[in-house]
Amino acid sequence: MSSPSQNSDRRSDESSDSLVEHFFRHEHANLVSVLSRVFGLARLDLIEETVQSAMLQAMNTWKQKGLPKNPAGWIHRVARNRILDELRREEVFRRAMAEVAIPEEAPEQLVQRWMEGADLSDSLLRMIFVCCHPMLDRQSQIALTLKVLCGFGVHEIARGLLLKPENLKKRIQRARKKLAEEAIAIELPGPEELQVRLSAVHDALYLMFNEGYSTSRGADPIRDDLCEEAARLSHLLCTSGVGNRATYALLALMLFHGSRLESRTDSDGRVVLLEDQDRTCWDHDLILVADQWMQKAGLPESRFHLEAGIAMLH
Amino acid sequence: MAKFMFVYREPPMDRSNVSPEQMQQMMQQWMAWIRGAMDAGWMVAAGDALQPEGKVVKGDSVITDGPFAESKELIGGYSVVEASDLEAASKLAAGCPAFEVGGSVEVRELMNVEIPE
Repeated sequence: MSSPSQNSDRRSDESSDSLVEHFFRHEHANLVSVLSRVFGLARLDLIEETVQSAMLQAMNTWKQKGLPKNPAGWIHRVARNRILDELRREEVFRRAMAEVAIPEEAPEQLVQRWMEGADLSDSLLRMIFVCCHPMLDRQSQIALTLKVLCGFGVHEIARGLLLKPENLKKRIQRARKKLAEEAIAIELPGPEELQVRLSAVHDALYLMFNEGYSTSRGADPIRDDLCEEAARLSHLLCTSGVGNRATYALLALMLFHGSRLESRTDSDGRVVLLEDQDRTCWDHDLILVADQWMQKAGLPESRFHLEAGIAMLH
Repeated sequence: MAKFMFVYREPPMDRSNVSPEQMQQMMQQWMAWIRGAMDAGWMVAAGDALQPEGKVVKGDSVITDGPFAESKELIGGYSVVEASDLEAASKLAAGCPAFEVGGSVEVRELMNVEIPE
């Protein structure tokens, strides 16, 4: 598990040999979040389909020709053009766009602007609050977060959560429908609501991490990915100014545990108890980062502080 | 040296269910294989991958739309390689990522256009 740093995987000066790890998965998530913000949650289905086909086109174009100079920009352009082509066919869309909050900016420019830097983080943050909306049950929140914000496929999520793919598909479908029916806005909760909503996000990310971490449930590599993603999203909350001290403690907790991911099972996938683990295998850089977040978290005020404190002592 | 075409054939992919992570893995396998072949020098043109959609036109102007789901394998792309003979060219196909998904590589010599002495 590497220390999560949002946006560092969007360098355009990558050597043309290989993409950063999880490039497709994370670009999928970035695109779905931004396009939903521009074109509305009611079109989530269409948006996901469009992004999927843009990704397929990228794969097929690049596999023999090699990577373009700016792979992320390439995919963004393809996805943006495709969705606009689709939407132009909708008569209603033309009228709807006239009512959009920022009429002076064409959707093309909006997509481009929101795909970058702080605007991208903002789009992802908004989407975290949508996926972890209290109106959805906890399992649906986690499933939708993994689909939309982490870019996992249905089969991967089903494996990670030990659910049947058909059931998971239905769950995600229902969650999407509910979001559209209730006309949930893609926005950050206002100050009076933020603490309550943030606490729901904490719970969902904490459970997502535990789903991945619990060793009693097999040693599929997808489980490490769940942990990594939960930490990545917590890190985003912490660095964006939206997170509070409980978020810092939650991130520290994940990083302390994450530093031991490698050594918690032996080569046969069996659980190794803490006292028997090879401590030299722990990721000590990650422990240092965790310490820093723990310090920022300050005095214990949440259950994450307590759990992180215990993890730190080990 | 003679030139040969590699025609990559693959079973149709479940386009709506292949995950981004799988796409990246497949793509990187292909890129590594193509790059290895180009660096080794026996691949003379990386060629192109083909879109899965298409049409089949017959003499009586019957036009059928693809994707051709009835066929077990679709042509996914092609490359051009150089080898001493068909036998040697076929051996070069070893390790092609098409095999990973149960596909195959058709190896065909390009017609020699040189006029015999």
